[in-house]
Amino acid sequence: MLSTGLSEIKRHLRTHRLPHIWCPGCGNGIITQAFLRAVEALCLDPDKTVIVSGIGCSSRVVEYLDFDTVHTAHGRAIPLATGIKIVSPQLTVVVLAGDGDIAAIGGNHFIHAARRNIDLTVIIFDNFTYGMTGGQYSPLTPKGERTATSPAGSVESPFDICELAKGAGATFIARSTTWHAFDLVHLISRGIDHHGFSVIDVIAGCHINYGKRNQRETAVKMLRWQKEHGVPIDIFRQLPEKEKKDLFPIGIIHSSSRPEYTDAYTKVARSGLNE
Amino acid sequence: MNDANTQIPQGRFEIVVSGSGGQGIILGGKLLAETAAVYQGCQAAMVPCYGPEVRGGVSTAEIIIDSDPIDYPRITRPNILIAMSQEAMDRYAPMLGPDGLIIVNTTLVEDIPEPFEHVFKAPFTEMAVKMMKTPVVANMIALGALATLSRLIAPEALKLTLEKHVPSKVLDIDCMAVDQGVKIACKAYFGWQVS
Amino acid sequence: MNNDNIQLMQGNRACAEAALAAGMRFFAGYPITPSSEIADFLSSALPAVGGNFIQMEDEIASMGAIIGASLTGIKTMTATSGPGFTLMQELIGFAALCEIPCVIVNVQRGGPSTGLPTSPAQADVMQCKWGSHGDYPMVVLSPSSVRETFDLTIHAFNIAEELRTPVILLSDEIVGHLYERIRIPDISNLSLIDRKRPTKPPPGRYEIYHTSEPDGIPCIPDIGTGFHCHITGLIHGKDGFPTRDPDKVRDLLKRLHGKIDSRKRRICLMEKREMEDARIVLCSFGATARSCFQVVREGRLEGLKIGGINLKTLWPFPDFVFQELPKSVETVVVCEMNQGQVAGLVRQATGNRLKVVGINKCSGTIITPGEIRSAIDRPI
Repeated sequence: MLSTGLSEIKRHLRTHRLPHIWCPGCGNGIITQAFLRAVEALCLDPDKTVIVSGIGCSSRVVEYLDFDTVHTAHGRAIPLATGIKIVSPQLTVVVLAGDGDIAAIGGNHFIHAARRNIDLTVIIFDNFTYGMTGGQYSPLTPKGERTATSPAGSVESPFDICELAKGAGATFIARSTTWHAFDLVHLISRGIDHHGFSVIDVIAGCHINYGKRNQRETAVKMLRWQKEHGVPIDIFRQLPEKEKKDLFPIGIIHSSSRPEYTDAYTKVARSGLNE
Repeated sequence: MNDANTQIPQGRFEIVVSGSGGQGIILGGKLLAETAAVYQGCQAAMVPCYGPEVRGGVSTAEIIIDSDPIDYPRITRPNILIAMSQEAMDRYAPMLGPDGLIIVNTTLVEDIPEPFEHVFKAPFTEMAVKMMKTPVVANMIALGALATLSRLIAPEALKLTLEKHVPSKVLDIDCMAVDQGVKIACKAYFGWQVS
Repeated sequence: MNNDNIQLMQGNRACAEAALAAGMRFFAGYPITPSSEIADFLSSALPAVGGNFIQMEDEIASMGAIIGASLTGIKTMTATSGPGFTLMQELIGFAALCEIPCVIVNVQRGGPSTGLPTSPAQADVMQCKWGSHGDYPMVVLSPSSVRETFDLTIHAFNIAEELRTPVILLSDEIVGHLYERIRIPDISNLSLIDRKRPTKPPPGRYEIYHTSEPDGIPCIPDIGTGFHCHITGLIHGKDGFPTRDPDKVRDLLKRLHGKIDSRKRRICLMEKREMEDARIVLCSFGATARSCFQVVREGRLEGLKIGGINLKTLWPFPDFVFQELPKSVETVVVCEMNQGQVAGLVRQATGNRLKVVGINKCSGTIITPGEIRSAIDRPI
């Protein structure tokens, strides 16, 4: 899948909508590229793949992707994707969303979709902040980090979105970063291929509105931070607790199997509600 | 299904079935309205009224039966009241005209207001427990009595409606309850006419 | 169901039955009094006809799910009451802008806030039109009986599909819970409308919001059929992609309003009674219209020159009805279970030519014929 050339990816782009709105050095492009490499690797039919997003910098990605794309309201990508998937289970439905979109305003939808184990793949463009509105803190901003609305450092504890997804019942959960771009392709492919609710949390950099407030004012510093803080899950698990502080595990965090929502519904509906 | 004893009312006719939540009041109202609509060829409407309680609280079914299309679907001056509880009696008896008919569940109603000429009293709940081993069919005894006293619906039509709505294992008990109501009402000491 | 199918049916059930008859195959909802009977019934009825039912985590999600499902080309519906309707406003705006057909049922209860969950009100008339931010058109139908609930639900789906717009069926606690005798029409004779779709992908880029008329209805493909549509809640051009070009912005918003307003006479349904020589006209909608017609019927027997109008369509507001009243009419009395939301619209429609009086009641109880009668018997 790493051999996928740029030209193969390019055919999935609405090039007439480019250039994109993202800042130079933004991590969103790396995730987009990884997603398209995964589409190629899985030989997904672009006519049968629907991409749904919410609101924010990252959610604008759908405008550039040559599939059926739905740019919904803030936080509402998962409910719309749920409606699409239930009536058209033959479609591959992918949700691309930012950390504020999915964990704050859309947080309730996220846990309930996980609980249902509906076959959606959610790729979180996790840059710890609301980039489009000027860099405010999100539910995934690490404690103590400075943002436009936490000038003295955030006092709130963030969600561990992967653990939240696990607790809520998601059956495939992975984390990666824009530094680990090649692993990312593999993890996204695994997530889309998984039959059930899949979450891929991708740590991405927003040096313009986030990094500059936290001594990571360049794209390179953002990537270096990701490289230094992301630890493969197997190694991470063996670390002493005090060393885990500030680090985060990457790789497949959780993978399990249980009945998928649309399968379960169809089965019960067919088995006959009518005596 | 119009047997000789059924009398289709000309014009508008208002009935209140009221008691407490859990007594099958709304079901009773539904059965009555449906029997009139489907088997007696009348226009019929039923408005369920209840509070937030699933059990207890006052529960009321307002039924309108009319030979013409029904505009206002709520009661204004009821012709018949089935009072299954004291609260129901206290609340709705004052709305009845002096020529109205009150059917009283004496198991749960002690005070019956004075001025009414046509009051049919029977311990529906006690009868249900004694004969059918369950209080929940008290409403069916009352409906059987209402059918006989008012001649608005035929008891046999009521049973056909019941067949559509209650599980087969309890249908017999419900029909027995209707028959009991018919039986006691036949012995009523007064004649009452749909006017 | 056969031709002669007479039943005693509840208003909420008639709504659900009509939705199925109209071809609705996806329902998403959240439990709320007094609308729950609709979801309860559809949870078993939909799978029986190959459809899908889901109970979502809230009303926001319910609205989202029916929009998503509608995008794939199927008819969808949700049902709620005041508090849930408030939560749905966000995505009702989205559906209006993106021209996604769907039907939203609001069985009104007393408000504001949690209000009176089991009591009737008619105070969501303005919310239906102005509930979401921005300036968008809305089609709102209001049934006053079980039969009307059936017919208007069919009408709602037909308008939603034809005009590609969300349609609100604005019922109330009385009509929703009322059981009435109804003869269910033969479903094979119902005239049903399906949204227009392009048949095959044309060469080059397909403009999903293209219309040849300035008040036209676009022919938007179903997603999953190879068109690679882009649907966005941003203001968009004919190609569906975001734009801030002032001409394109204006054209879109004008067309959204135009497609409803230019078809107003066809969308607006009403029932008029005894209008010919009426001096007083009782105007109402929903359950309250029943009280008005009772007063008209009894008043005429006494020789009162009184007529009645039941507005079955509240939005677009049928102002033309009030501009075309018979010359005999001197006073319009608007009866509604709110502080006068429709009365204001009637005043606007009549200008200063007629006296418009409101009979309003906000106590969680219906306006009775007796109350209307004593109000009009007083010198107005």
